[in-house]
Amino acid sequence: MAVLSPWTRRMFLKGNNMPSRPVFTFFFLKQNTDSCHKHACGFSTAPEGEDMLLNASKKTQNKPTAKAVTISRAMKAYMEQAKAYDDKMKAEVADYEIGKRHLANIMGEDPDSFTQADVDRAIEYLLPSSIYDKKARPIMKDPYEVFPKKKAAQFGLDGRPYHWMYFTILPNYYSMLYEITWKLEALKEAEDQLRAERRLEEMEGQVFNAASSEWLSLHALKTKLVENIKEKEYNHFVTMMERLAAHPLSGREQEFIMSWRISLQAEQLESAVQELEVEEGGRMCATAKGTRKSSNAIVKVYKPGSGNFIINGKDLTYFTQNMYRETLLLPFIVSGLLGKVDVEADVEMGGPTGQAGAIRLGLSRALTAFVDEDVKEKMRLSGLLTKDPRKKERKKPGQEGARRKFTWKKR
Amino acid sequence: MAAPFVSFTSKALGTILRGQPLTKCVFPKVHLSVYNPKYVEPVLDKDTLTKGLEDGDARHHMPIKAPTTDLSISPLFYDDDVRKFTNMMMKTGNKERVREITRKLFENIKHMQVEKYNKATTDEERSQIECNPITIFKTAVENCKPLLTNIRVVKGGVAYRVPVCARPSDQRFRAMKWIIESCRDKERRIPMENKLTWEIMDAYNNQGKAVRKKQEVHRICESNRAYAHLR
Amino acid sequence: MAASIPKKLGTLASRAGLALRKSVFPLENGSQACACLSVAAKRSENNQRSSFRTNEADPRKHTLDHTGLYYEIPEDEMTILKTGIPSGHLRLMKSFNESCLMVRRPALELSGYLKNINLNHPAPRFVLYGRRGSGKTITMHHTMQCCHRNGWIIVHVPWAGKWVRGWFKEVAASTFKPGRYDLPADSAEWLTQFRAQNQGKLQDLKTTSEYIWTKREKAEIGTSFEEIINFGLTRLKFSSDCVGVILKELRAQAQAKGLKVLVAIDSVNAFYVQWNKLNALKNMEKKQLQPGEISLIHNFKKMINTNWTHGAVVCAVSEEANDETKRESYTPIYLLGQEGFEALDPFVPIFVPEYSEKEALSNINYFIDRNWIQNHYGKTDDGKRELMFVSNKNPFNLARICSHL
Repeated sequence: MAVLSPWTRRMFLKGNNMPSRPVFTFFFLKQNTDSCHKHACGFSTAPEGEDMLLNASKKTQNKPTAKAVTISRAMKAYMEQAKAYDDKMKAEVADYEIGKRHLANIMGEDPDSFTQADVDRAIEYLLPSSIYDKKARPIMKDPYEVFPKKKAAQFGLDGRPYHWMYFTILPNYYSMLYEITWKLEALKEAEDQLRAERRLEEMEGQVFNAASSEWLSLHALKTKLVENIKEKEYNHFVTMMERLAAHPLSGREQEFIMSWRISLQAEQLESAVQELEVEEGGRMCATAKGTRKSSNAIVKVYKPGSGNFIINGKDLTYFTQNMYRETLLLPFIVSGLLGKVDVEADVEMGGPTGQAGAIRLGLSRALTAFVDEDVKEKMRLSGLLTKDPRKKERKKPGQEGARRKFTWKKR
Repeated sequence: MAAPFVSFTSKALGTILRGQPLTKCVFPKVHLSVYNPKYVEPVLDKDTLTKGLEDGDARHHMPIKAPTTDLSISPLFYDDDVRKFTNMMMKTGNKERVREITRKLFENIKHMQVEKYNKATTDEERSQIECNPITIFKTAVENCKPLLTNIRVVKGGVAYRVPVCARPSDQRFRAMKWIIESCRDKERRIPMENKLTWEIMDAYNNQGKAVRKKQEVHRICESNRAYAHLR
Repeated sequence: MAASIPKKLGTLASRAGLALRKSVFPLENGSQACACLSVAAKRSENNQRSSFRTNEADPRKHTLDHTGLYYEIPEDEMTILKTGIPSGHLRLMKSFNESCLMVRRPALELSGYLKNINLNHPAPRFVLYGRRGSGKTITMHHTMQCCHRNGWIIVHVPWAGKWVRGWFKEVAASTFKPGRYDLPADSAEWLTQFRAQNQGKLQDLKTTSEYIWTKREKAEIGTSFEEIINFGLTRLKFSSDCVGVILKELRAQAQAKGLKVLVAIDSVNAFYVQWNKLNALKNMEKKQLQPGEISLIHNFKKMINTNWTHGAVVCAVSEEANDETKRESYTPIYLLGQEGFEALDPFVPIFVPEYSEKEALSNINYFIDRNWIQNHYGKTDDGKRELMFVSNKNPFNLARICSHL
């Protein structure tokens, strides 16, 4: 047997799993080398691409058939491109490494243990920038982060695509939809069987629990599939997935469904994790940071304590208005630790509202170290562990303020 | 059958939390909040929090908004109606001042009532005197709430004042607005808290300017009831 | 202009007369008060009540065991103590239908000192200091009541800060000494108050030297204090001079007659620190007056001196009497400034702290008992703890927060 084209090889391997369903008719379409070239410019992971390249070049040397020569123009163009990219990246990586060592020397640190975090710090120190947009500030990063990796060839030497859905333009996306449908059909079959055998009780509690997670966002899905998906297609994805998840036996496909979902509220609880230190005299201490508006606070909580509250060296009289003291009272009420701990807070910048909010956030985070999971959840539910993202809206040019326009009179 | 799958998109969640279906929205809603639409309001009810939410409650898995500075969980320092009233009275963000006015308002009410209470000799007399300023305030607002409001409907080029049922939030807003406005109309030299005290004590006894305003609105609705079907 | 001044002063005098009559009035309500007391007596069986009240109404018999407990002041003594008690406090007393003060440690300390002083030595000076709203004025009133029962003559300045502010006030050039200025209305007010506070103690006192007001009018040797006060109230032009005469005579006669004089001055720092605000006191040429230029203050400064015996000086320094730019600390050395500190030195400083936990609880319980805290949650232990946290146990702040619950 001659060398199987990757196309046929895939088809051959997949044969077992393939259900007896009509396969797309693009078998009969005539291949257009130009379109192949166009789609070869997508992105994929590097190792795979190199591997493909290697395979392709080997094959070219071994079997210079007449047919292969006629359709290898696309391949040739791709190979040229890939080589150029490869060379460029090699040069960039070398530059990056040398640059990093230079930076380390400038900063007077050890070049061998100089990490990316150190590079960022050094750049910020050496080239300070007041440009508002962070993307416009000077950076020095790993070339593979700056220049995205290219997708490997999607077709073989003979110009035939590897993927059976290559001509849908979004092969990964559509094959995923297929997979969903097959799984749903399988579940339906299983359900029918259970019903026929009157084993309905086995179906109890097999439904997928969606409470703690949500579907991948459009952006996340794009990144995962490496394909440019539009909102319409995303909505289709969600509809299909929800149909699958709503099936009474969907729990059996838990793993598959969860691979397309992300879990919620991880962020809020993550910031709440605090470590306890033991002070002299056996007192426990937890430290946490809090921010609100433009204020920053560092809060230290000691247990056991007698309810002392010190802010910047003063007691609660630091806040003259009672409203702010009530704000600080909230975490104590929810955690039930009023009068049982001592608090020391250092706060800077901003006005009283921001400072009170910053202390409250830091205090709540620090208090989580002393309470059990149940109370922690209560604190989360009352919103104490959330950072208040509201800030003063910026002034816009051509306007008097954030929203207000200049008074305008025609004459 | 097991329970149907529930999607926790923001739309569905709105339905769950409010306990009633979303009203039909003609215009697309503009999302002005800094928060991601996934965030929900914090649970700030002391009883609910002590008891704990049910296991199936969606909020266990939702990100929660941070409570604002004037929110509190303590029944001592926080009441929703009072907060609303204070904020409605506020001008140019001067919250310190309005909070002081509200405080003095309650102080005045309490002085009036507690003095009566402590002077009363029999228990019977005492039981008739309501001393809680918040209760008095709430009753006063309740007495000023209109059941109906007018809306302007144009049919065939003619504008009609059509009586419709007022929503609860609208009722509260109007009642408070009338109380505040009637006080602002009074003599300027008298402190706001004193004017408010009189107005609220009047409204508590179903008298006063704000209550009259409510009755006037009801009268207009009554006279226009022939148009009620035009809604 | 000239015609309007006597008219205004006349109304003031009549008002002062009214105040006198009013002060007698509460006695008529005695029967009602008795009825209330009987109800109160019934309730006193409750154990909880004894945790914040004491039946020991005599301030002379208060000991450290009574700290944090409320005691009742009889109606007739309230006429003496009323001046100077913060208006919010007075309003509460009216609503509660009884006048109660809390026994606190600094007051006991001060009365202890006063009990044991040697009157033959120059008048000792005590300075009360503490944070805003921590109870300096109330402490002073507690001491005043003690001294009143012991038969002291009380020279009380309820709020010295009042004399250095008020652009609208009537200011007249002094008749006695050029370059000094009189406050006729304030002087008249003080005379009225002095007469009311020392009823029945002034009959025996007569002047020991001659005072010539004008060519025609003069006070001969042996004029009674009553007459001088009356003269000051009818001829307001000389009221400031009358104050000076009374103070001078008190200093002179204290030893000879065996008097005991208590000088109680609230916000004494107003005597030494200039008030820099827009509403500062100004003379006829719109020039801001220094505290020393005001004859009232000049006279009272002499009471603080140590050149007389048979008396004691109790002062309080308060942040509110200072300009807003000079309120960084509450210590006497900061508030009095160089001049004031030197004038008062040496003195016994008495710190008035904020409530302790026991005192704060007692205050809250008293409010609950008088039906002042209406919020149901405020009556629970958690609520009380929250109240203490938010008020930071500051007496004034605690009362302020409780006022709207």
